[in-house]
Amino acid sequence: MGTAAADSGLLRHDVIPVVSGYLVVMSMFVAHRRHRRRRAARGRPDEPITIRGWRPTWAGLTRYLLATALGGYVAFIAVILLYYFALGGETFTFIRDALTGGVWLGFGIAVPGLLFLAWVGERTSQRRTRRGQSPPIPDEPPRS
Amino acid sequence: MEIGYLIWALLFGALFAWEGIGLAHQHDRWPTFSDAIRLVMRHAPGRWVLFALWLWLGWHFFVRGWRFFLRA
Repeated sequence: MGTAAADSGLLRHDVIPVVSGYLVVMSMFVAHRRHRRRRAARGRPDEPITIRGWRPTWAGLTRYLLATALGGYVAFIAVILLYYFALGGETFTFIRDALTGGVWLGFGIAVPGLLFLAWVGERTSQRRTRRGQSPPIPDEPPRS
Repeated sequence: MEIGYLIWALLFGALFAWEGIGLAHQHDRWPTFSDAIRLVMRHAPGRWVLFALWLWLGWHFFVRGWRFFLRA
């Protein structure tokens, strides 16, 4: 009885997270390898990867971060529900904690924190420009 | 319990070692996590999955308490 419970706990709390993490990491590396091959086929193997998708304004960046946080929150809750219903062993408090904790981490810490870091980055870049140094190359080139 | 800590420490150590080797030998086409994450973040679904992963980790470590991982 005790051994069965320990095995079940080991499966739910250790084996499944590790296997899931392994699959996510391997998927990322496979995608990276395919992308590198495509770039090599185009004759540009060392072309830097750029992240696009937001207008270079504070409103654009805020919308971009909120959309990312919202999508990530939905995906997080989907995983939690899958975990709750497919594997079991947790009370309803588990879901309530995920709902409230996810909102706090995502919208209370991550989005304001990233906006703050962006503000610090912009201030630093402006100071460098005033001193006559060239600013670092951003991921997103400014649009006219 | 101690063996659980050891295994998690080894796994995270392996991740850092992988990233370190990748950064030190970029000319050998050793993919780094930063490269792979940057690639995944080009698309919205990839950003959502990564953000969900970050939430999941943060929630377990800082909201529920990090013993959750090692409760077995």
